[in-house]
Amino acid sequence: MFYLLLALVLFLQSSVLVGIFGSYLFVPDILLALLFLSSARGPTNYPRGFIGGFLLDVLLDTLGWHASGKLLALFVFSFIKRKFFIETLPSLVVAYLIVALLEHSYRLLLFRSKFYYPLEPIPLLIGFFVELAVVYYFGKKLLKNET
Amino acid sequence: MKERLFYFFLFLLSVCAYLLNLSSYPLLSPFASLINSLLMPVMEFKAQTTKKVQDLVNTYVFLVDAQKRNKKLLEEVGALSLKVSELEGCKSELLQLKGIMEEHPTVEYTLAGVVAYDPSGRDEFMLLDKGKRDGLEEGFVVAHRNVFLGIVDQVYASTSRVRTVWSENLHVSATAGGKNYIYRGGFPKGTLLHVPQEDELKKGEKVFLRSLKLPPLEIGEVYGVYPSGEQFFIRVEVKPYGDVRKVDFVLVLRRRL
Repeated sequence: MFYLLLALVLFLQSSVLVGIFGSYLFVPDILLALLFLSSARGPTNYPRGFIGGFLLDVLLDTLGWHASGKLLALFVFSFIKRKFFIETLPSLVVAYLIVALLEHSYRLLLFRSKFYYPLEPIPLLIGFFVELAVVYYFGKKLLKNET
Repeated sequence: MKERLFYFFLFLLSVCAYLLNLSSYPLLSPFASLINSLLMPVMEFKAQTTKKVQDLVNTYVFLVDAQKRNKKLLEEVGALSLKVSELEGCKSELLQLKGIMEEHPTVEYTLAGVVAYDPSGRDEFMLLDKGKRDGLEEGFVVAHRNVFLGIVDQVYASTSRVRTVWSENLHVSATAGGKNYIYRGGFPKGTLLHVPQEDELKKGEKVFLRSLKLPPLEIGEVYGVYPSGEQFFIRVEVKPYGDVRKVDFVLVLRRRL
């Protein structure tokens, strides 16, 4: 089920959303949201993160960019899980906010260390809010199923 | 712990792979080309989808923009239509004015010689050597240079008689000081009839023949302003410029007043 979802998300993120947002820099990172939600309960699943990031890198021809970002995000998320209880929807969203901000900043810095591309704040923010909406919607469902 | 170290190593490897562009290294290039050839159909499909979505987004943005521009242009067209109707009105007025302005140069005239004068010495009429054969008609205006001399009142076969500005039987519309009056001829002075007391006509003011169809010909100038004895009017005497006896040839303007 996860890998089916992963394939769908990879296709969506690497083709449809790139067409809408114009550049893969501003595309909402649905893969990160999926990995975050899949690791929200139980142990952090690093292999899924690496495979998802690696496949996205292959599709976007950016070997190492997404893979390292997703691994970093999972490291940070694992640390947060050890220190805090994530039992409610606001705590889940705040945790994702921290993880996503770190991951996106890291990837943008990594990108800027190699290339230059003008950053447009409006599509960047729209993409980020789309991610948050996805996490909010599916996180709500996840917590509801648990109870 | 070992697992974490392994993934940390993978993380470092990924960073190096991105920064050093490992996929283009000769050692790894066969592996990269194998993956590429395996994923070629997926990549093509992905590229096509991206292009189609991009086209759709661009079309949507273009249509929204076109709708906005269309609305703006419709407003502009409305304003311009109003302007066009205003300009059409101006154009028709200009054409009318042009018609009026162009009438003066088209006034036809006949050059006639003076063959006889009034034997009474009061210069009330003169005879011209042109008549009906030459196309003259009663009511034609007679002038010398820019001075009004009189009006043709009788036309014979080859001669015609002109009632001059000195004759008491000549009544024409005149303009003086920006107002219109009736000029009645007379010897030795003509008069402006029914001039109200409040009109400020001064001695020396020029009196012109009033006609929309002819150029403004001079009749004479105000000689004196006197009380008339009537309650509301004053008597204004006009000294005509036309000296009938000095004139040998006159212009008969082939147009009535």
